[in-house]
Amino acid sequence: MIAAWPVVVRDRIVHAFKPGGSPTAEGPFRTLRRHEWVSQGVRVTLFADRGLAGQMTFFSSLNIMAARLARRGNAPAAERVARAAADLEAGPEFAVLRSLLSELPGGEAEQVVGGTFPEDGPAALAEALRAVASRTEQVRANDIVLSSPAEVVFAGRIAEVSDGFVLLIQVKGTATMVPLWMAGAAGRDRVGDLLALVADKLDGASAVVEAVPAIDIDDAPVADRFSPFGRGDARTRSITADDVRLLAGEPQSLRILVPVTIGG
Amino acid sequence: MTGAGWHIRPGNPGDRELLASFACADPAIRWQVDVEQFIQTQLTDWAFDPHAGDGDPRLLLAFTPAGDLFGVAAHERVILQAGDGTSFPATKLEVVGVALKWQGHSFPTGERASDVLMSAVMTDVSSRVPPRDARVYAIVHEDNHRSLAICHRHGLTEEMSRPHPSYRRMVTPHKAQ
Repeated sequence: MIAAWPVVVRDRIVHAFKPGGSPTAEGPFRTLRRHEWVSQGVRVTLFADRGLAGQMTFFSSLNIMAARLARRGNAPAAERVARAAADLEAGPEFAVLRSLLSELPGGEAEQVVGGTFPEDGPAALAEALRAVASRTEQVRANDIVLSSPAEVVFAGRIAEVSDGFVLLIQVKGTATMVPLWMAGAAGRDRVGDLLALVADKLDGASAVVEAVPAIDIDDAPVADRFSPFGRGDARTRSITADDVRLLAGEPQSLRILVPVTIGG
Repeated sequence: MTGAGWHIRPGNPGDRELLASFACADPAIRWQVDVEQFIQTQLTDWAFDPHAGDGDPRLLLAFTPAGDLFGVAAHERVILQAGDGTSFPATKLEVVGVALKWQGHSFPTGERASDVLMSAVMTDVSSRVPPRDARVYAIVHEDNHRSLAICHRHGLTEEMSRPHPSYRRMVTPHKAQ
């Protein structure tokens, strides 16, 4: 399974909240904080050869969904998703990732949070990122708001790169073209790179489409998880040839055992 | 409206807090907890998702005359889709939950609380415009024998393929063409 990169910096959250504004603006982020539409994030102390090199805060990518929900005016859902992000950030997967990021030299930790994995990066770091991504996808799959049709994610692998576009192909074979500049901005513009397109619905005919780095979580248990609730899992609506035979024909009247009136 | 001893009404966004306290699960049973958590934390968002209006989602709440919430149910229109492109309009019973203290209990007039709730669902489905009373189905955990029995009593007597090894999918019947 290919999923959007599971951790983000503050600017991405601000951008999701105010797509047309400056991602470095303080005001929108303070608004998110004040209403608890964003989690506290995870602070990492960075070290260099000569000692402390500063601090960095990174966040669960669920905060981006919380910010979008807040933008759409769904404050209760934004709070709930931000709490889910906080729960994830307090969990063991984030603890491992935080520890590994703190051991990286120079600015590499920021690059990793931004979606760039160092070429000689430790296998444990890749595993930690996959674990965080896997937990994030579990939360997304089981949450009705996060599986809303208002947000569509198209994640796949770049199969071709041409002058102006890259060809992005999902695991199941569906393909789409992505402007090369968008792929480049996400740091994913070479054949084989993993990229996700997130379509964030604005109204009936328009959306903000964002290209973000992706990760292959290759996690069978996640794929096997099933919730009968919500609209996110197509298995609740997919049928077999035997089902087609069963469902063809004239439906029988519904059976109503107790006379009931639905009132206002 | 009031029946012999109950009152059923459609839900509204203001019911979020009421649903947040609805208890219908044995905490030791995972699939029961999943139902309860969905009702408590997600059902209002599901029912009033402004992007899901095409499915005509419906939330129903059932109260005793004293005002106690004894049942919660929801349904919506969906399209069942086969791999070859064949599709059928259908109604999915999203959730049907009876409060813990009403599980297995009946009203003084003899009707089971679960039958009243399920009858309300079927009545509501049959009254929707455009009609969507063909192919009403529910996804039920295979160990949820009580719900499987309720489905059977209310006409969901046919079984489709399983969407997951642990879940059964029950549907209303059709006469062969």
